Amino acid sequence: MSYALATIWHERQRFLPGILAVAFSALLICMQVGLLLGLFTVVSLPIDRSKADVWIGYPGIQSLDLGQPIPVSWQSRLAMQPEVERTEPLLTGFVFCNKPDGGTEMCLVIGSRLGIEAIGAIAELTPEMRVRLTEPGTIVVDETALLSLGLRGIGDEAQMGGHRVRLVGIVRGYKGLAGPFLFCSQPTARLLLPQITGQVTYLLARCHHPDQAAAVVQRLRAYPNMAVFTRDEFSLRSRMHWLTMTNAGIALGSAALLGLIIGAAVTSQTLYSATTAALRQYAALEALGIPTWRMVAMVLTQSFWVGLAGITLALPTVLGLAHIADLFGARVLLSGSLLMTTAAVTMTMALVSGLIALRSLRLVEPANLLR
Amino acid sequence: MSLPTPALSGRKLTRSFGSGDMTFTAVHETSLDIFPGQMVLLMGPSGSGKSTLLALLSGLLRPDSGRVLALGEDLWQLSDRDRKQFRLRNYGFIFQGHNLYPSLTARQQLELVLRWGERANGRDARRRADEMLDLLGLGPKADLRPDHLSGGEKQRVAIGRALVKNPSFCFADEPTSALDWAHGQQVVELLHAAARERGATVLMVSHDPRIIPYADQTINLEDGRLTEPLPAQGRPLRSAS
Repeated sequence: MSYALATIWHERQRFLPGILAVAFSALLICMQVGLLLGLFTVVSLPIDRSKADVWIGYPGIQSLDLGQPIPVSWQSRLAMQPEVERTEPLLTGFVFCNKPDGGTEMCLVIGSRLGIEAIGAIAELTPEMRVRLTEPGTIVVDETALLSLGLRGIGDEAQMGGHRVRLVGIVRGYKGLAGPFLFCSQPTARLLLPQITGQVTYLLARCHHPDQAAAVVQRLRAYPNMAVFTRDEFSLRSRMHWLTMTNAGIALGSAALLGLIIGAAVTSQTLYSATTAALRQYAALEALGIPTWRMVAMVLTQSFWVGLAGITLALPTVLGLAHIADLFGARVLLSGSLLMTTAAVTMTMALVSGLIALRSLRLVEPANLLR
Repeated sequence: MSLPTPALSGRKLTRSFGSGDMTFTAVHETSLDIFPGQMVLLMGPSGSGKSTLLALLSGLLRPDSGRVLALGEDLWQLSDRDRKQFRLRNYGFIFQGHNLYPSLTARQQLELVLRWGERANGRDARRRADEMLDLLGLGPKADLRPDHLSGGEKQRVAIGRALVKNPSFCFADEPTSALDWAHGQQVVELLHAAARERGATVLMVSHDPRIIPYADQTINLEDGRLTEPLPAQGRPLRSAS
């Protein structure tokens, strides 16, 4: 066992605040970013759960919900690509729903084709729902939207954009961020979104093989005035837009940063006080001629072990909390890369804290031991 | 018959503290020679400048004026780095407090000096630490940490830490002050024997006259000046002589 580790174990009461501070930082970063990613995954769910490999939108499109009308004639540009199996339009846009209590709720209409081979429809639309949706003026919503739209269950009706619509199906896991998703047929979408008459919002394509999407996208980018993405690109773009451009992202990011700063302050102070408490021991070694870098290495090694202990403590806690959050319907997306990045960031924080604590070694004065 | 070459010499060493009217001169133009293999006792009342003189001779405190020659090196002409390297090779220290790491065992306290100071490998450091602890009668306690050792045992570990690297000099500042006489006597006897075994020259500061019989020579200091010349080898030279 290294001398640094032996010291931490023997004086664990002294080092505990530093270890807890690292664990707190790791926990905060993981949960905040995990919640953020979990939250914003919803933004791109209709992209991720469609069968479309290629998405075309208006130039400058930032996110799925921010689509603008584009000419339907561009569909031929897609169709003439040899890798493309079939293409279809998708209609999206916002509509206001009049709630029973008098208020309004903004909803994102997603009007797709409904056949079993349709590429714009989400996978969660069952064949039965698709049949029901073919009747104009019918919608499917997420279960969490029922209350906000004043709907009690299938068969209930609501007033949207001046039209009566009827609920014919309920899906799970599509709790929209900007407002509830309304899944419907294209005729229903045209009814609710008169502003895109004669045009569409997106043009989608399915390739013979998903790997061919990149080549198609590359070729289609030669056309001016239209934005072309693979499914993954558009999904990421939508999430990143929400992550960087919304106050929610900034607020949660700031909280994670604050956690990091607090963690660094506490860890640094813990290491500083531990070093200060051992000044007489360091001074005795200094008198004996032990090189100063050995003592610097001791403090930095201590900061490494404090970091490792904190991260080790945080990991099961994060997984446990994510599980509990999931039980309450809050999705915490903990990817391997998030856990690795958090571990790297908090370990760096611990080592930087160690560097800051090194100033205490300047107080080492062996002549003071001769009194 | 010519005298042997001194191992350690101080020449006209002066050191003051404070400034202006508050200046206090702890050591006045003091010169002395210490010869190899001896145990020299530096005595004097509290505030007489014993510890300051020890700090000057051991290279821990820079004199205002004067020179310190150790093994032929002019200590205060060396760079800080070279002086520290000199201390590493040649000096061992025992302080009033044991200043041991609370988290390390007796063996680890000694190993640390060898591994960090000389880059000794783990096996070699352990062997040498165990030899030293055996010499000090601490073999059975090698795996105990300071909080499981008595005051005398802790000071013996500190002696081991000072001597384990086989220094040419061992500087001891009141090593028995925190111990009762029985334990203090034991510590002095062990220091004497261990230093002799290792061929180290010992300069010990103490105000306890009961230690005098163990010393090869005794030097008295009062108000920062040597009070009497001693007849034997290692004689102090009268101040400003």
